[in-house]
Amino acid sequence: MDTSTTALLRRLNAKADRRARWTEGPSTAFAGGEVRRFELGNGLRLLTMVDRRAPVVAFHTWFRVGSRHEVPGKTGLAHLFEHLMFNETKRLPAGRFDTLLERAGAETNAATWTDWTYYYENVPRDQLALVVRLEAQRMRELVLRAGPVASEKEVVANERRYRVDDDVEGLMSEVLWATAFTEHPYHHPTIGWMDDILGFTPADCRAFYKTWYAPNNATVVVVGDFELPRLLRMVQRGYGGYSAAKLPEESLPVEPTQTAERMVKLERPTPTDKLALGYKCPGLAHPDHAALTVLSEALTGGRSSRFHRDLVTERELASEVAGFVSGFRDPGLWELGATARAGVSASTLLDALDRGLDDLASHPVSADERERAVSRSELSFLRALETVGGRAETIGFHDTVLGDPAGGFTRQEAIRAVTVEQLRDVTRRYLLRARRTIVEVRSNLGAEAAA
Amino acid sequence: MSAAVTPVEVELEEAHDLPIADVFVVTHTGTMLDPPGREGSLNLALRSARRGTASRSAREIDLEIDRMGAELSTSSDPTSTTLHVSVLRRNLAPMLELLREIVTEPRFPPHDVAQVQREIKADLIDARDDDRGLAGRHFRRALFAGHAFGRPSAGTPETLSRVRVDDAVETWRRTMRRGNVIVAAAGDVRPDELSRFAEGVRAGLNPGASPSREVDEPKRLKGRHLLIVDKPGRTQTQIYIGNVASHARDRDHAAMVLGNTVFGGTFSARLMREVRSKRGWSYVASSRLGRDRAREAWWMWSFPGAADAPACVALQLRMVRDLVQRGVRPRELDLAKSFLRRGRAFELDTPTRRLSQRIEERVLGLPRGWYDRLNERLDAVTVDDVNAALQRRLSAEDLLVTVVATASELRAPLEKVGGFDSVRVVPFDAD
Repeated sequence: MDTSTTALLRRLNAKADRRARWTEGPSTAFAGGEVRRFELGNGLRLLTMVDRRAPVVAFHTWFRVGSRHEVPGKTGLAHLFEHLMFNETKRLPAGRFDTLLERAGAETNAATWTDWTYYYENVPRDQLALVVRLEAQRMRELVLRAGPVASEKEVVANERRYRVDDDVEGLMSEVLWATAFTEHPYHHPTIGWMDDILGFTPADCRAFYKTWYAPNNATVVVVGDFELPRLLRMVQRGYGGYSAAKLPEESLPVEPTQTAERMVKLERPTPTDKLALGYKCPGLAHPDHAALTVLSEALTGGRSSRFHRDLVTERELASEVAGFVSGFRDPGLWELGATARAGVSASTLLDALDRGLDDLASHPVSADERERAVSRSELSFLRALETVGGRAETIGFHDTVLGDPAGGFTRQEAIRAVTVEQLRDVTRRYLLRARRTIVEVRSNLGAEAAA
Repeated sequence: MSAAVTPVEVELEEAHDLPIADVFVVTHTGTMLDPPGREGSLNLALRSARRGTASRSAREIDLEIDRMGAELSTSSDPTSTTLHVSVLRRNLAPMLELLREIVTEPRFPPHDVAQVQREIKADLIDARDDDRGLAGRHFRRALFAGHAFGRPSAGTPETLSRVRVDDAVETWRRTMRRGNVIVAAAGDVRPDELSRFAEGVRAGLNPGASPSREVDEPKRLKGRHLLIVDKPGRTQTQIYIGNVASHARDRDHAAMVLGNTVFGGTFSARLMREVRSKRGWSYVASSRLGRDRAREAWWMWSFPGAADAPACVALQLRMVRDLVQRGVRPRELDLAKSFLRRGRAFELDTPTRRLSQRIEERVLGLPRGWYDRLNERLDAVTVDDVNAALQRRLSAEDLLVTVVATASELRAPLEKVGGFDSVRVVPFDAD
């Protein structure tokens, strides 16, 4: 901690209530700058990074609540609640939050996933005070009336139709996770089951808000062109009056070990057959996660990757092959998806994929394949750091899921350090048929539609 | 200037804070040069250019690009094409050399081109899964029927099957002329590196006359027309409504930008307020003004559930009538100006964003600095200017309504919305 900050914190804390007193934690190097960590007495974490490449600031608020905290019958509440956060507060009528930010030239939105919910505003630097005020107000002063709750349920139902019911890939992903997980809340979709969405009451929403939206369940991330002393003063003023909430102890059901392959077959009005495979894989913090990420990229990332070359370019069985390792706190899935060419059945495509996966035993990922996968991963990571919003998201995500704001860089180092031996090892231990789930979609449009 | 010394145009937005670079090769003409009935020719050539050069095979190129941690993508529209490379700084030099080769020395091996042709056809068939994409494509094809903007840039499975390797190669050769190319870069690239690359591209390109950039002015649609893109099993619709309306060179363009922002350009704009916030019908309801070298479309997009679609179409049509007849209010205009003026910071906050505006000015034939001066033009606009522009450019009676829906369920209720001069139903897979 530098002496000027020490003196500043002493001044800010001198007359402050216990809840509003700042402490500073260790700083972390990040993208040529540093992330500084502060915490208010009420538990609100603040992560800051000064970045003067452009006269803009990103302000993110990450809440450590997501669909993992929901129970059967109440699925989708974290996501519905995210929508409701743009409504009325005790000091602002409905709609005013948006118009104030639009007048400020802000980009604003939010997202909910299994382990977290976050809200962001990217603003010109002279509008930061407005954002701090508005975000602080809606953390504890939201007004939840029956009318807007009913209307927003309709909006979310519409969003569900868009992303899942009428979207074959969205539907496949939902069925895949619901089949692969039987006990853990990763079983249910973050957007929620339709009946649950339509059944929420204002009382459900108020209870959710009171439980989870508290300073000690949030991290504010500020990246951009701002002055730290002023920011600390504004955040203290905005949030320092709130008390910490008693957060529920997390007690999630443990997912039993999968012992046999699971398969779901669907028919949909889609022009071509499709496949989604999910292999059980560890959470983001697990040491094997980086190796699985490299393995996935080596098999499906880029035109030279093994599966793309084999299935798309050479044998022309698929129009697309993609792989992705879930980045969740708890164990998730390595997802492998493929779209068949017209005239190619899902079962033919599955046979071809299986031959490719089986072939890994005799032809493991080579040093050259590893190098390509690592380079592609590096480009993708650096791309995410181009904007202040991207930097804030990288910091907020890794702090929320891993407890380390610089976790993105730690992960990149781990990815760079992955060896071909590790790739062989994770192939052997995770790509197990007994621990995979398959969703197969067959076209029911008839041959003429696919021609 | 003689052809031998014709330069290529060059743009650079230098920044060295991240070790990555973006390099673009952009042309002033696009798929408007495709032979009639063989739409998709140029796009096929663009995607085939990486399938073999004078010194490398397709396989070698794929391996090198991935090894360098690079991405090479291509895109095409009627008035321009783009080859775009993102690459790690440490591999910039070999990537620039490879890109130069791809642009100036493609071999177009017939076997590989045929393979790419089949890949594109598969992509076009897969694209039928995307209901929003279907709505947008059918909307544009019907609105710009008979005009370059209505031709499918990637082709259709049918037109693509008629394209011969010679068509693709010839369209590429007509396009890749010295005087028709912009070379641009953003990020960790030095001026001397870009100059060397630009010179290499220039030297390798045909110095012959560039193709004409002229695009006919499309005609505004008369009357109100309903086009249903029939797809089975839809619980939700995708709706595009609009007409030909917008030209960046219009004197009232800034007024139209503001009018559109008030109507459907922000979260609190009229469309979102009425369709989403009050009624909960659609997750998004927005409007946009297209921008190109000729007059482009103004359109609205929403996606209500099937049961709400007829009422949503009726509401949106009423809202257009109200916008044209009553115009915008001073408070709305003031908010739109402030949003656009301050939000400009996010069009300039990265080198790639700054560069894309410079490129767009060149491709659209706009004066240099057109974007930089946009705020001044917006500030000068009055409520009367906006309302006059809206009356001049939009009419609630002249609109194309395109709906992706299951026609057996929604045709009759949609027709009852009323006032349509024509109703047409096309199968979703009728490209």
